[in-house]
Amino acid sequence: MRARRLEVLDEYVEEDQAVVFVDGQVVALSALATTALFSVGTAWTEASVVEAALVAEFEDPPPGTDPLAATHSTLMSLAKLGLLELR
Amino acid sequence: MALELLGARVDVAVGGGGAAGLADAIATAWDRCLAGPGAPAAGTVVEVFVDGDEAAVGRARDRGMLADSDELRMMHWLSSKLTVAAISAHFGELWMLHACAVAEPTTGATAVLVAASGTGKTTAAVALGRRLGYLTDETAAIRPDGTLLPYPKPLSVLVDGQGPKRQHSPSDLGLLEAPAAPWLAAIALLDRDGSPSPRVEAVRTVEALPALAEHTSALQRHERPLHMVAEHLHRTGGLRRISYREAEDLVPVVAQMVAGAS
Repeated sequence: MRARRLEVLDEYVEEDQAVVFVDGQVVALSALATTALFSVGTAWTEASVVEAALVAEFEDPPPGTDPLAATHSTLMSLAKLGLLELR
Repeated sequence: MALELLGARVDVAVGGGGAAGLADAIATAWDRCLAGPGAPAAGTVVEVFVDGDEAAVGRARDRGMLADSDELRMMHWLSSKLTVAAISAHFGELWMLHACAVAEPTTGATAVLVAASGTGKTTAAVALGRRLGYLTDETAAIRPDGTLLPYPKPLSVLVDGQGPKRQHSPSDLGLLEAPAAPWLAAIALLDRDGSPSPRVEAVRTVEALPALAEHTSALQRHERPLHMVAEHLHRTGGLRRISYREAEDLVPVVAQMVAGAS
């Protein structure tokens, strides 16, 4: 999976959390979602790059959870909000 | 009849068999919004028509007028129409929050109390406005520099707990006048959760922004809207949430918020 950032109307960051204004709604992201979002650029970014950023920041997910699968799930949630395009 | 709403002039043209009575009712209920000598010369015109003849009402509606056979209902519709006209004139210019606002009469320090419709804004404004200056029970209009434009509209109060609401002038309810130069000192979310004694909690900015966005008119029309709101929050010590039971319980809490502000 690859992802790239889409434009937002505004984004506000405080400590490790972002708030985004996209598609007419204002949404506060978790720290994990914020790290995932900011590790994606406007050029296509491999999910493995995002996974590495998440593991570096939050360490490995709980046993039995595949980090790459968890990363995909996070990226899909961000795409659903209109923050990322995936392919 | 000329009104001055959030600094913009709105003329209400009254027609129909009930015109004289309606004009009196508007002049009484909207007494703090009547255009003074310094008001802008021209602005939006709202045409209203009240008449007992339903056929005449239908014809007036066909001509695009706000029309009804009942004065009380008309006053209710007119209030909504005038509020929309007032806020529409300032999209992207003023931060307009769905809130009641009251101010310390001598310093102008203002508390903006945000709440959804039907959750106690008007009741809070009535209780607070007898101790603090009444700015609005509906729309707090905040300029970029943190000063506010009062919108001292009539307060919509249910008659015998049933609709339609009756429009009461703030003067008739004994509410104090807004100070000459109100400025934003505190912003709070009202949460009438039945707490036996009022509780005030700080809300982090990242949580405050989505909460306040829900209660802001046309937020997307501002340049960098989240930063605009965050700046106001930082300037006033951040958003607070007040949990309470009775509107009267808010009086000492809100009075304290604005008393020490500078």
